[in-house]
Amino acid sequence: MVIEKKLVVMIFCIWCILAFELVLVQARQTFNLLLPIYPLSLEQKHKLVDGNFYNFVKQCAAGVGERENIVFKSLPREPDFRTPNWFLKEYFVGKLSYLLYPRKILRGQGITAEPKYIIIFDTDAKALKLTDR
Amino acid sequence: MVFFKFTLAVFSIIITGYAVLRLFPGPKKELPIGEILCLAFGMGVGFVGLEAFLLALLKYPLSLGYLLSFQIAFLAFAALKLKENFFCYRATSWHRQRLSFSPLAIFLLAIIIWEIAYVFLKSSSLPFNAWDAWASWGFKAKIFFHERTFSVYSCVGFPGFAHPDYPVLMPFVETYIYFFLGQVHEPLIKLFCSFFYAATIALFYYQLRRLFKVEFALGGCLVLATIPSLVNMASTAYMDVPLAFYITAGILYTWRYLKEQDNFFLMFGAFFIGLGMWVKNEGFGFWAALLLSCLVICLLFKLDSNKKKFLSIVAFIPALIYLPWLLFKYYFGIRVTYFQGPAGNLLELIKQRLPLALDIWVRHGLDIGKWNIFWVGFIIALVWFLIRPREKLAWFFLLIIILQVGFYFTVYIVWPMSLADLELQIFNSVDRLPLHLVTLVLFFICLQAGDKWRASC
Repeated sequence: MVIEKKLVVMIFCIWCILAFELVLVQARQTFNLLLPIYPLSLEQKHKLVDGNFYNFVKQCAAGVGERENIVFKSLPREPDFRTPNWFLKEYFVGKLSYLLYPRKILRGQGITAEPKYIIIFDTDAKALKLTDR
Repeated sequence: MVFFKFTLAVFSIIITGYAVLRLFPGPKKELPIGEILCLAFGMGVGFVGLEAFLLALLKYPLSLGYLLSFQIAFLAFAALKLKENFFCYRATSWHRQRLSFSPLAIFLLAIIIWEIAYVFLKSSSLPFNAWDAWASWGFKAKIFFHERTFSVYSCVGFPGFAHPDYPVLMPFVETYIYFFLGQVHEPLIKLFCSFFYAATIALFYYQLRRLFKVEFALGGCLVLATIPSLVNMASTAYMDVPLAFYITAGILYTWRYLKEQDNFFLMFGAFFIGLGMWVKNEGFGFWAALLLSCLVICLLFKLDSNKKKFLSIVAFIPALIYLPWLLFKYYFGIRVTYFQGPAGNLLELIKQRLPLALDIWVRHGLDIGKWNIFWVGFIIALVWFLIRPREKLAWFFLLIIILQVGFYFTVYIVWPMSLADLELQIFNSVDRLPLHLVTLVLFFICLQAGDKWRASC
């Protein structure tokens, strides 16, 4: 019984030593990162997460009506499946779709009428552009 | 101002949950106020989410006015029924709860409070920055908020819109908070989701405290609160921590019924399992695992309770709570993609995929940066349990853990996709799926390891 108790205490002490490292990292993060950004406005916090991409989202939101459709295209070609460019494109199109809602982002299939707005992902320059027809 | 509105939203959720709690016959023994608060929070979230789902289904426009009027009517009904007893719950008073904490207990409590404060601060500092937080949950909430109706399935196929088969309870709760705020506010939704982290730790503490001395109970909570993966996930607005909360409550209260034969715990255990099924699809697996585990326990052990009643409640109450979503999915032809037929010969798939999944899980589980020595501790406790079990009824937890892990591995095996895609999926899920189990695993460890710290009363 005594050995069992010692074993439990020993394992708990190892846990605490390792957890202490976690707490130290958290403390550093709290004072160096979290507390300075906590008072920022929602807009500034969005910019911190998405950087220039968020500026682009704001530009699209300002230029396109709330219930308009926007077509998303990759030019000059679709990025290769599972390359970093493909993941970047998927992130852009997905997050644009989320952030710009209720504007609807369409891509490829199901587009019947000539689109009024197009967002182009330049695969070579890795840049986004909004065009208004 | 926005924070004040958020506080009002949380208060309205808790008071509604409390009214649900009060309408049921209370427990035989008094419950601590903190435990009642956790139960009211969990119940309130369930009530609000299901209320919004049913109103939307009945074609009522989703708005704060409709939602609140329904809630106020319910609160008025509860107040009329209970009259002056509404606020007189069988709770241990603050005075009687006052404990003389030892320096060790104060130290443990301080670290737990630090962890909770850190998670709250981290979650409320930034908007969604993890994929599933917006793609699987936030997007649905935003659609409900803008459309004011349950039009989510007209949006299937939108880029970034993921998992239409996931239950909609949590997106509806997020929408409810957006209605209060009058805007989409991601940091506050993240903060709300991290409340489940605190509630899980609190509930876990109260269950341990019943059995063990305060230092041991706090030690167990410290281990739970400092699991790196749990801390990381608690501030992302993924729904794995809310699921862990409902599963913890559901299974630990069912266990408590087995020990105390108090129907209150059986009823609420079943309720919380039902709500867990509404949080994520994995909740369904937990219900099946709990049911099978209860069945085995009834067959192998002599119980003081009525086994038929016990099994019926565990089987039917969660199923009844989940039924509307099941019917909805059936009606709209929404299918869970995992089970649309295996991608080839089953034996071949097992040979090919099982070692891959096991390898990733074991390597990940042994990563100290993600799990500390949690799974090493579990293996030691398991071996110790198999040699000299302290509590034979702990098989109840062990069976649930084995069955649920088996459920996850079955999904890996039958999921129709290529091996490369599956590998990616396993990597994506390996830091989350074990999180659903951590409280059960830790409770099992505590039952085995805590014999020397049993509470005297």
